[in-house]
Amino acid sequence: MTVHDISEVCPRSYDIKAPYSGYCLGKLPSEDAEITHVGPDTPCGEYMRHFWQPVCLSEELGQYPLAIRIMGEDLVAFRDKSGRVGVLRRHCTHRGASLEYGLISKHGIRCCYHGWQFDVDGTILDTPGEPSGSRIHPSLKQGAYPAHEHWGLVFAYMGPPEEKPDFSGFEDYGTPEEGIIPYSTWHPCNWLQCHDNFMDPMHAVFLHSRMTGDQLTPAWGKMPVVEWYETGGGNGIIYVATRRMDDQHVWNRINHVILPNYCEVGTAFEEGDKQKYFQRNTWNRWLVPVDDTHSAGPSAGVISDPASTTARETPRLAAATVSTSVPTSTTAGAPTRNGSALPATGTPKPVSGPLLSTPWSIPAGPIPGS
Amino acid sequence: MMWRRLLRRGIRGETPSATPDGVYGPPERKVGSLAHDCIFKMPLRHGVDDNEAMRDMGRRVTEIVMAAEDLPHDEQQAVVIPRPEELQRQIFRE
Repeated sequence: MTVHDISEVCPRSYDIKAPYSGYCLGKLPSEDAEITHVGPDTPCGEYMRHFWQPVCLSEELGQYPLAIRIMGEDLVAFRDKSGRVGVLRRHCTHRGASLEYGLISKHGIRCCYHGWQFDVDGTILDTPGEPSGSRIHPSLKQGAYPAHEHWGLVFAYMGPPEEKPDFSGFEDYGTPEEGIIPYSTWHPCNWLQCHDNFMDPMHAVFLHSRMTGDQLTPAWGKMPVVEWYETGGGNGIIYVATRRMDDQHVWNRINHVILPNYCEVGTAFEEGDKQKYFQRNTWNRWLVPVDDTHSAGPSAGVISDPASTTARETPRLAAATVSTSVPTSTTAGAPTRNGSALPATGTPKPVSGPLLSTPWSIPAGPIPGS
Repeated sequence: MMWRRLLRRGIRGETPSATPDGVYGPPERKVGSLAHDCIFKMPLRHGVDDNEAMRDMGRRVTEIVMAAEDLPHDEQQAVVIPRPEELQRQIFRE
């Protein structure tokens, strides 16, 4: 079989008006690596590393270290017995064993292989088995990242230490603590594919309503008129979507995305039949790259109106939260530290939580935050 | 496309406000947004293009909230909330 240059076979290869043009349109566009690749030393990865990123839920830090992967880096997160949170490179600086199997200590974590102990900042505290007078203590560190807890989420700063910004937190709009509901999602695709979605109100009309039945409220099935505006001198965008609910009411919604990967979206359970002004029930979401082909969404519902439908429904959706931890073995069916197993396909899947076999099978439907 | 363009400019360092300093602001300031919901009573009117009327209303709400973009939450609430209420009254006067 001769392989032809497609331009010879199909000179009008990109004429999208031609019928049956599947073959001619077969060439895939190249990757836009500048905005999708997130590993160390990539443009987007370096940019994102300059911001605090949520890497897991606080409640995921329990008896065992949690293996996570963030922007292509294999890490382990844990809370030591002094209550401090550590985010370390997953593989021990000594012989490369996984600290996922380490023993959480009063101060830091101890590697399972030779018992080396690391503090949350990567300082080597103990090297049993090394000769007395060993110079290892002062000459080595375990890779570590600063961590900070906020809203039940663990944030890590993975950028240059000298450029670490203060963690000033995110606006809660006067919401009491019980109105902040952390949760997480998992996406087997590049982070940008998901993040794009936050500025796309049209998908909700179909994906969450007309094609599937009302996953949220019937209001989502109404076609909006939409406009987009830059904000913050170019560090964000809002969309303004206005829908007619009935012959008396219109619903005006503004969602806001802020660089590099943060967004606040309004309530998922708007019914649209009662007048209200500037209601601040929000889903505050980050789309955190796990690697170039997976992403996670450690997020928080910030429910300022306790009387709203959203206040009733959000905990139910949050109960379907999925872990940001990742399988550490590529062997299908191999058990992981937290007792779950990789699926037979070997495709990374969420690995903890009660609803993981069908994480989105609950009636309210898939990912909140449209 | 608009988002990707902003992201690309941020990555390339072309937008001063897209840096950590620009996004986080001063240390005492929390990151906030303009995200919210309003429900207006706006009866359908015979002979009026309803989509245009909704678009116009959306623009008016946008002007209100964007004018308060740089305010901290408490001040933002105080400034913004009366204005959609006024907008609601205007809708009925028009």
